[in-house]
Amino acid sequence: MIKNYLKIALANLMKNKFYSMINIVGLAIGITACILIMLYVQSELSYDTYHEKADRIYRVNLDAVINGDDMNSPVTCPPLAKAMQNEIPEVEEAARITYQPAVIRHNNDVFNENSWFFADPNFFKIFSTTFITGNPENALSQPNTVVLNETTAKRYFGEDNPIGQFITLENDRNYQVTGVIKDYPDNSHIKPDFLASIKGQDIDNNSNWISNFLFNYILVKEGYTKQDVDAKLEVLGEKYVGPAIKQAFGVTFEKLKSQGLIYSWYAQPLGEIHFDREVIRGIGPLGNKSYMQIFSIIAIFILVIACINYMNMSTARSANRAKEVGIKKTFGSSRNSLILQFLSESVLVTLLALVLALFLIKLLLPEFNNLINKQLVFNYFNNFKTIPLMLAFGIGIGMIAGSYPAFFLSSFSPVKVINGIHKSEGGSARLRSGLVIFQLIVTIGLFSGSFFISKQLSFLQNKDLGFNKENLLIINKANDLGNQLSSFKNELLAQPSILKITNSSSIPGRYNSNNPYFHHSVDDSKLIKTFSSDCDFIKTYQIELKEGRFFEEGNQSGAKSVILNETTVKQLNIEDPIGKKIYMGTKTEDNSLTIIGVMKDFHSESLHEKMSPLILINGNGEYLSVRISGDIQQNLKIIEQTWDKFAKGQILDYMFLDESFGRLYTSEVRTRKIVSIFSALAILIACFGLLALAAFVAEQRTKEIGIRKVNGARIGEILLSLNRNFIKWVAIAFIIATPIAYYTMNNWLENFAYKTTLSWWVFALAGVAALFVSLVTVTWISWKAASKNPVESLRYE
Amino acid sequence: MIKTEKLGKVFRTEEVETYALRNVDLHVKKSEFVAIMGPSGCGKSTLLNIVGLLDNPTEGLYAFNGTEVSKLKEKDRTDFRKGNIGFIFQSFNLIDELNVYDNVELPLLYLKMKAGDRAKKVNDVLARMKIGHRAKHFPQQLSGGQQQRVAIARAVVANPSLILADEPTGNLDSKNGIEVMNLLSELNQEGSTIVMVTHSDRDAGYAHRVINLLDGQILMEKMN
Repeated sequence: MIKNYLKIALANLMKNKFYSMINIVGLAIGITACILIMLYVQSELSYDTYHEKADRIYRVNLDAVINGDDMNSPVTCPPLAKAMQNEIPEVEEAARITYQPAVIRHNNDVFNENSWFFADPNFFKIFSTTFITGNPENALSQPNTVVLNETTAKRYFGEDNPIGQFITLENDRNYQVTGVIKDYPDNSHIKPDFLASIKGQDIDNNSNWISNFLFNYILVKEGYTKQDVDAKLEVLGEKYVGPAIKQAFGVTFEKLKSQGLIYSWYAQPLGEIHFDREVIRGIGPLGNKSYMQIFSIIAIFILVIACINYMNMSTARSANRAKEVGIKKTFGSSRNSLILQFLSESVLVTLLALVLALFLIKLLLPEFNNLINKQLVFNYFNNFKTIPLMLAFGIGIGMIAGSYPAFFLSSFSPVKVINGIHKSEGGSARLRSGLVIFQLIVTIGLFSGSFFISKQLSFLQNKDLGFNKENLLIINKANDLGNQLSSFKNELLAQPSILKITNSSSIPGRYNSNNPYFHHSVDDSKLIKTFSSDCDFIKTYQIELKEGRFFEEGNQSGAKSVILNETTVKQLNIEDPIGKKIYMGTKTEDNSLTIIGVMKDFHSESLHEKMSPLILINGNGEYLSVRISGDIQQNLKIIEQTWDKFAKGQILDYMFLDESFGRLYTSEVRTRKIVSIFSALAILIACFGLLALAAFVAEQRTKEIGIRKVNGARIGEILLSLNRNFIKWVAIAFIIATPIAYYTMNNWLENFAYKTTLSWWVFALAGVAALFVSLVTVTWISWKAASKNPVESLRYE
Repeated sequence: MIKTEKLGKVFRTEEVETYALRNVDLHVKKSEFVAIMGPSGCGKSTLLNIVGLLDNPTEGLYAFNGTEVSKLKEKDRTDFRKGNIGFIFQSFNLIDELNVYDNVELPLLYLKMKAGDRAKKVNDVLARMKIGHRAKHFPQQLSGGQQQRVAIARAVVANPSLILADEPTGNLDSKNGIEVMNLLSELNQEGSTIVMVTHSDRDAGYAHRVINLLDGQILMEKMN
């Protein structure tokens, strides 16, 4: 029986090559897109689950409210780990981790690395690590030892055995390689290239309980929960943080708590770290669950659109199958066996599509990895579950796509079919319109979604930031110049193409530390971002001064002068700020700072954030910002030469501010790309369907078109009558899609403090685009039908 | 074998009621060869469809081999038809996507017969219809006469007790037509009961009895 089904199925596929191609290719693209997105989503959602003890691993975070400002920090203090290990019985292991960019020397080569980690020796007891060589028990037990991952070991030592060899960290400290480990998987938030022992580092013996700058991870003993640990952490806080605060501020912890201070540690499960958008500035990229939802929805839409094509084609072309159904029923076939036949046919089609899709996935995965900036792998044979899973997936899709056609086709009455009166098409035609309208709704929704994401991005990129981010070159390690800093500056400024240089401890787009300030009384204290700069900051950045003056060379009103931005003036509620004082901590002369100037607000962070208050103090820092004009390469050459002259062997670490500012929106840029590409795919598949449907309609109406033309209809009139339904469908879809798109986009824009307007014309544009695309598709076919010589169309009747 | 009583079939649309059959009393004995004649639209095919259990009457009773079947549901009619009734159509109604062998095998598939038994039966009947050499051909590759012989082979392969033929020679030239009628005669002589709808006096001449229909009613019967 199955053989009989297969024969008929294959014969049908071969006979209707055009429709078969559209179905198979459409489904293949749909399956490919769906699997790729699912791989991505799956990898994101399974972040860090790779570690065997993942469910028992926690990061200890700090939840603090200081003067009404909420601080949720992933970094905590250095002595915490040891105290947890010794004093909390539920904690099996506790280890500290910190990471930094590093300059490494090896065999006279210099490398800029950005994944150098320091960790306690028991790191490997917490995080599952596969050692290729070396022993996890003692790899990091000695100071100045380092473990490399496989890729890094190959990069530095090629095929040589790296064990026992040395590499040099920038401060001329030598590290001996004691192990090589397998690279951590892509979806692990800790991915060190270098993992050095924290032993012997200054931070190892740092015992400051209120200085938070490194990560503390714990492995909790089996059977204990987060609540157990959190309770013990509170006790630990009382014991150690209390005295430290008393010593530093002269006030008791209890007193501060009664004034609203919150300062407590809590354990955050490993699995939640990647998606926690409250605790930012941790290690590794931050995931976004709502983007994952959007991508999954798009993936499902693509697949549904491809399935709809199959349904539409099968029911539209039902007349061709009616005779077969009639004959089979006459000769004793039950309806069930016909349903089975049509289902097996659609399963066959999807399995063919699946095979094609698996090839496409292999082919496109590298490109896709590029797009999402990940290293996903898809091995068909590595995992015994993959093949059956894929097979089940294909069969499932086939069942869904084939369900309606199977029930519809098998319902034909043999009498009517045999007698050639098979015209009872009303129901299926209505369903078909419904399905096409659904496809068009998705199309219009995706169009407007992509348009809005692009609009918002260009809004962000073109928004006036309050300073000029173009033509600014940033040198990251001004400290390398030591006391040569001003000589370096002066020599560069002698060049006509170097306009201004400023030295500062932060730059826009970088994280700044917060300090509490007040003007009237300590109860009104606000946490305000603070950094230091020299006298040329606002001129180099082209920031407008609103009143007062900026820091001036030679006019050392001392470290006691500050510049405020407008938001700070507003938040601290200062009238006529020039000459007034603000305070840090207590209202004493020692703690006072005099306001000498107010600058206009500028965005020192990404536009996800609201304009924040900012205070500048006079001083130096690790950044040099150089405003250049003219040819970039030429300027770069000058700067490099001058650097080499003054910086004695240190390498120049530089970047362009507009690029680094652009990186703040990487996630949005990537989302735009993914949404655009997959929307385009969805729309393409929907067009396939329209094309096939138009071909079917034209074929069915060949005789009618012939008769109309014989009676004087012009091509334009025929086209209109062929396209009328499609136009109507787009209109209905537009009306349904627009409010949905509006709602979704409105929600998405909530992510930004600064948002583009939801202009009506974008929705209109999406509707027009959908109309245009579908009309072009449909007309391509209709034109052929309409311009045919009527003699030809009537001859076959 | 076939006994109908006051059989009627009404087609209703919202506005019109059309009687396709009215008060038809038809009796066909086992091994009889009956021809039904009449002008287009007189209800011949409707009657044949009801007799063949493809359709239900709206009025009257129908006993097939003594079993009342006029009110059966489609599923039960299908089960009843299987192996009991063979159909031959004017337009052959072969499945284009299947070759001759597969077309003929079709009724046996639904009887859930073993593959070996099926092959034997199909090959026997094809040989008998003298188209064994065409077993691998597809319907479009055959002449009309050949196609109708395939259709007859399909109708008889399951040894049904009743063969229904709806203008079996309507699409054939006279030479092929006579050949097909001879085949039907032969089958009848071997014991098959045959009910045939036809326009042709020549074909009707092969039958034992001719029934004339007009406007859905039996006008007259005559024995040959």
